[in-house]
Amino acid sequence: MRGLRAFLARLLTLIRQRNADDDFASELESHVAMHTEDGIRAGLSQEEARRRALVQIGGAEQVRQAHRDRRTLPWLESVLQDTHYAARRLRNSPGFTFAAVSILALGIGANAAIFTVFDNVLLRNLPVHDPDRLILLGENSRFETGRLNVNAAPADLTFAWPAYQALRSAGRDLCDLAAFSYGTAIVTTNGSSNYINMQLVSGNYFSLLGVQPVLGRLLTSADDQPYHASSVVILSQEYWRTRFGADPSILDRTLSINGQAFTIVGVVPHQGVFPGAPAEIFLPITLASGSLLGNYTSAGRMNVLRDPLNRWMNIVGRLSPGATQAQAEARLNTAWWNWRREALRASRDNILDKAGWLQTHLSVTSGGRGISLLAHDFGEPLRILQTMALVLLLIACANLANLLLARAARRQGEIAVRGALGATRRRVVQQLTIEGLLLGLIGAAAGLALAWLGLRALLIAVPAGHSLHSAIISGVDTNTLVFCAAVGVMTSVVFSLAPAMLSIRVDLLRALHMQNHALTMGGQRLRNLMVASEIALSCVLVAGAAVFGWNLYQLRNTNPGFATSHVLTFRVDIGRTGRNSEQFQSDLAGIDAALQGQSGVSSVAYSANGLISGWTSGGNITVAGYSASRADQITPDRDWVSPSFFSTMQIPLLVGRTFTSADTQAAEKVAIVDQAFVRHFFRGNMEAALGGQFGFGGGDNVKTDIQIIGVTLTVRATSLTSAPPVPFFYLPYAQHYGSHPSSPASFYVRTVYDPSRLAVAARSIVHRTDPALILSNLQTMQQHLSDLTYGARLVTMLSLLMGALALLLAAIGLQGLLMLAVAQRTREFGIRIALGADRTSIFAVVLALLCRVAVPGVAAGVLVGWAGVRELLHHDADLVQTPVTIFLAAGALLVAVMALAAFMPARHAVSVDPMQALRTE
Amino acid sequence: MGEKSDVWQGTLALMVLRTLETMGPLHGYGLARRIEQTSGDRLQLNYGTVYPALLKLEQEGYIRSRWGISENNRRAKFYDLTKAGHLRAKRAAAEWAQTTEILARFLAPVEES
Repeated sequence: MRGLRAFLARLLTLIRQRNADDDFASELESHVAMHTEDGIRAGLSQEEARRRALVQIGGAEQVRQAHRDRRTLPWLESVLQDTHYAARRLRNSPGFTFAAVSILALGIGANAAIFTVFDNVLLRNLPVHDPDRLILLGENSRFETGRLNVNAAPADLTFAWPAYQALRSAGRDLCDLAAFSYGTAIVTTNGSSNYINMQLVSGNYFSLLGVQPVLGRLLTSADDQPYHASSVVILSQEYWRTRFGADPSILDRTLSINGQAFTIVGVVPHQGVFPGAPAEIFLPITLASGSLLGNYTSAGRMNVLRDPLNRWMNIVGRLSPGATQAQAEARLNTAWWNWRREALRASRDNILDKAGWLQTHLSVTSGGRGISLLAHDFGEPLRILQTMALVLLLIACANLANLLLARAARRQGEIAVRGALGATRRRVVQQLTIEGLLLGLIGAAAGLALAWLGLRALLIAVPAGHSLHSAIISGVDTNTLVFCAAVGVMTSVVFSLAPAMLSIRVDLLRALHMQNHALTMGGQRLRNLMVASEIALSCVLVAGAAVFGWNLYQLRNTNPGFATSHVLTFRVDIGRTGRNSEQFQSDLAGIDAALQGQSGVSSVAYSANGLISGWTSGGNITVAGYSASRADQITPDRDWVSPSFFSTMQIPLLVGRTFTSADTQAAEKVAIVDQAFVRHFFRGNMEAALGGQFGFGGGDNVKTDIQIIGVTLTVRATSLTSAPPVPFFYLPYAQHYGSHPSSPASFYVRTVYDPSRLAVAARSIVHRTDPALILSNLQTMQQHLSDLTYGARLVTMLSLLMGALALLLAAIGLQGLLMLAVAQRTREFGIRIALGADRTSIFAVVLALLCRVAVPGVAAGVLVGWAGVRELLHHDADLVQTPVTIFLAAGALLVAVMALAAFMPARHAVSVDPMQALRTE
Repeated sequence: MGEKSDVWQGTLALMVLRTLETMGPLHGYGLARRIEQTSGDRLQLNYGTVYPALLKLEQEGYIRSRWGISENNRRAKFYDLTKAGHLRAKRAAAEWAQTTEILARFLAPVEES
């Protein structure tokens, strides 16, 4: 306590008092005077009395020093002094300071920016109680049912309701499980309808996550009774605030969700477990068996809670105190296998691949981060970008180290003088360290500012409203700040110490004699190494950038197979607002006719899923006369289209006929298949396909009553990736109504002029047809496709930027190195020229210098880069293979940049004036 | 008693506090002289060491200082105990008494039992 007080007093003196020395001097003077007087009184002479007084205090200067040391904090004083000195030095060499700070800022800025997004997308825990104890269940299975697309990637997170029930009771003492499912709902308030994100949750979901209501109550197990779910809804606090102005009297009011009335019973400070797609409302999960979700037939609806093959929900759990993830995994797997065996017994007919059904494993992963769609979409590119940013930071560090080494070589004279004047080594190291620290901190601060600016710039490239927006806008967080500050400070300390070590070895005498040449040779080797590593690392980044660049180029040049220009597209949703299918039918026909009537419109079409819209319908089919072996089980994709779809989108029909208005619900069921379908199911024989039939589902009792009437070219209907398209077939939209009363439709309008000019008219036509219709994604087809590739564009842009920065830094490092080397050898060049050496031979010397650094650098870079690119392509299946020529081109660019960097030093060397060079030494 | 003892580490502060407690405000020279006198001239006190010790006590808040006029009409800096200083002086004295008493038991001739 008293110690702290004394420390503060000393600290205060350090800042404040400047005349304390004088004060103490006069105190000491009065002391000596009094002592002398006493001495004289005792009979001593004036001189003797004064001498004795001085002896007795033990030397005036020592006392003054001891007093001064006690008065302030000597070490802090020296640190402040050194800081002051370092700041002055940095100010006095603005060129060096600017270069060093910009290099650090680039390295740190790139990392801070990318790490911010990285952290938000991949590392952030859900804001719930003790997220580290949460688990997510996933399934890895060889089985593919006749009903669902099995997403093979690492584990499928969806489960059937009966499986959840079985697992929950089996794992009870190790972990509690809760079920949830994500969806969009249409909420109608004051006559206007909007899409919102909803989450269906089991009654114990909130208590399991530890969420407390801010208003009203949570859901309980009484709310999610199968077939008797309560019509209650819980709002997220955010939705309550933005939509209802945080109205405290909101409870017990009704909300129209998908055309049904729900009572609002609570508000929770929780946005669900899908970061990037925050849920706005929460409903009891067993509502899925009712008409709420609309998209199911009545039989399907009943089945949601019974069918072991209908997987539609996710399972989250919380480990009991003391239980481990491995214990839970073992226990749950036993229950899982038991359940699978029973399910197989119960629904034998529907499970085609019986052995595959049992080859299964239940995986338990940590669930603290929720199920991030962003992490799924951007996780891999972000990991790669973060690696690239770290490599860039390494390059920046090497560059900075290089700069500091060169400076240290120039400063050896100064340091020798300081040593000769009595500065201790400790003090010299302290001073250099402080200078490096200061530089590092300034660099880190500049880097953070740069990161902030960079993130703002990045926002422009992301389509507004995309969930990546929030990951970027949430700003640089504390973790990132600490991380970056640590990197900055560490870099600066390490690389300012390297020159400090070099400086300490200085032989005072030789340094004072300015024999710099020999001294700098040790540093020279280190500097060569630094620049060589920079070149190697920039090779790696350039190779990475080349992969991404080629990938984007391919993506942009992928021909989707359908017309993309002069097409306006939008999506219309009527479903779930209480309208029936007849009404919807007439609405679609009405919109179609009204659009046809617009001037400049040449044709109009619509389809249920739409082209590369993110909506797909898959499912097993049985083709008459074709027996599937397990190896080539393929579930074709499908879409329901209006008769003019093929002509509007200019998809050529190869044989047969297209749909007509006669293909209605009452007529014979018909289908048009694509080439990939024919190749798979009819061995490429189009004539055979034309007479073929198929039916939905697998197993032995499928009615193959759908007649194939035509074959089209294969188009990329579901995604733009280069993977070979799966078989695809089209069904008439008119035959779609019966089973799916309310699915939305995508419209395609072909125009003779710029399609965006039709947007306003399209919007008003839809609104006039039925105000309850929801119109979304209104844009031109080209805009739509461009939005699809924005993720790839963003990643490519960033990787190209980093590649360019890496090249720039390496070139600067190389140029600096060569410039210094040439400057040191001016005399040698002068003598050579004087002795008759021609320009070519001087040039050869510089070239040799260049090669000594660049050749090992490039060699190492090619090796590491090759391994890196292989790793990258191996990890990210979405990337297309890059041809060797692209790498060769990137290599040529690298060599050209290196040559450019060597140009100026070479010119300097060649233009040495021998007389001048010899005279200056 | 020909030889003088050096001042033991850490005891100077206590001597300063006790002296100020009994004598009231003193300047540095007077304080040093007084300490020597109190010890019966048996302490070898380097007068210079008094000043850092005084500064430390002042920083710790046990004493305060102000410029004044000495008995010989000379400008001098006077030191005085604060309230905390009075308390400290009492406590430190008690602690020392205890310490010396314990030590005395060790140094006393062993009694036969």
